[in-house]
Amino acid sequence: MTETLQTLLTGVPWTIAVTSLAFAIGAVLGIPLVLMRRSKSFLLRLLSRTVIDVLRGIPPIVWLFILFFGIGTSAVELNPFEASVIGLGLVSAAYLAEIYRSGFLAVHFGQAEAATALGMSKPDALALILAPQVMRVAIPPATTYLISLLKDSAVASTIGVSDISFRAFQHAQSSGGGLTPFMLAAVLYILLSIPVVWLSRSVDARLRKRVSR
Amino acid sequence: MDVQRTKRSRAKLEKPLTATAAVDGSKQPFADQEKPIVKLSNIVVEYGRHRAVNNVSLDIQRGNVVAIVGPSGAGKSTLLRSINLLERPVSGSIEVCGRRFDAGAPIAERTLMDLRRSTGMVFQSFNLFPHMTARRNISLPQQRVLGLSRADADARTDQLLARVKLSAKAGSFPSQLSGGQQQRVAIARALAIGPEVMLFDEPTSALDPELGLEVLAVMRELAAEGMTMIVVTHEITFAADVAHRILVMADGAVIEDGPPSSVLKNPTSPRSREFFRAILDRQ
Repeated sequence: MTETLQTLLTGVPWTIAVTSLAFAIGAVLGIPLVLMRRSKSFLLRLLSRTVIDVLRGIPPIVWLFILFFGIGTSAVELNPFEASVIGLGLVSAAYLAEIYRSGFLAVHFGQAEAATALGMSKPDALALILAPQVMRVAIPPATTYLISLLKDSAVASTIGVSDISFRAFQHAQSSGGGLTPFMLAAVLYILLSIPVVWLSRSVDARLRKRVSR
Repeated sequence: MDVQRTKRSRAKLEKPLTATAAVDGSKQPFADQEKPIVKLSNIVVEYGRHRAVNNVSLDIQRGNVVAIVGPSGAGKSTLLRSINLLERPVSGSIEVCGRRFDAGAPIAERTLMDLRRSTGMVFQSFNLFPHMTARRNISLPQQRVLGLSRADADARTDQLLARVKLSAKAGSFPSQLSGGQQQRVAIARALAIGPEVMLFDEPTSALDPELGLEVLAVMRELAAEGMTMIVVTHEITFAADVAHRILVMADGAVIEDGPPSSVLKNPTSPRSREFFRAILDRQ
């Protein structure tokens, strides 16, 4: 049991790394995606919508296989970790772009109008007036997404990233099966998600106090 | 011309923000010879196939208070919002503080921002920024639009807050203020940019009568100080008291235009007689 736990614990940093890096990539790349999605140009909107629909339409496991065995062995060399981070990062960008978009829709149109009427530049209005309000609305669904990403990061084990799930499979096979490694893996995933929930609640409460309408 | 304008706006900036003019309610006669500060020529605004403003031309002199009244859907707000180009007319031209804009012609972002700087707008729904305190709502635009330092912006902000009698609420967030207080902050915020024309879009319609009064009091002071004001409103008493001129709009057109005494007492068109009768019946 302790030996099993020790093996699984070596997977924890990998799970955390894949999840947090993929989320960070998604949080950043989601911004240009949502701005394109809201652009006046039909072409940019179409491009953004296509990218979002494609990325959300492919199961992550299929997407990772394409990246790792397809692109990752021909054009550029990707190791399993890089392929997982990039693959899940792009999928996250699509989901987070949609979360940002619903945030924009929730902000009253009068906010942008007031900034415009004051003579503020468009980048200023976006960065100083709209973005903080969009973020306020986007944080709860983005956290929900982060927790589901934490679990879905297990897909990285299928291309060889030695995360918690990978260790659980490996240990189950070498030690002759049994449920123990998987039960322990489940507990580890839950323990990892608790600080995320806790953090999001405290951030949310702090913002709600200031921005409540 | 450009140099003059810059000088004037700077002079305006340095002018103390406290009320100086006597608040005796007397209306100055307006000089017709001067070039109008706002000039609309054959403005048409359309929403899809609906024509919201239909061929309106209008000259407004500096220092005048113009009230625009009329039934809802008459195109009052749309007309007001085309003055700072929040709505783009499909034809016609506007001229504000000497800057001319023709419908259909491309406008540089910079020029649009200058137009917005010379006009201040107050909205029915206040539109304060909910994530900032009252003080920050007023000081941030000064930093970003006028390029003032935080300290200078804060100093001017405190003067403006005193002027709308909200010094005590400087640190409050909009959600902690009453509607009337929010609208007064919104007026202070619009004034902070140093506009030459103030546009009010039904500033009291979202307020209950008492809170509306405190907003109207601030507007009266502003008018007494000689600010050019264009006010879309349902407050006929305010219009009669403060405005130099009342426009009645219906179906996208101006159907009545003149000093309150004649417009309110002897409206010429049957449509405006009907409108005023409806208002009187309600009171």
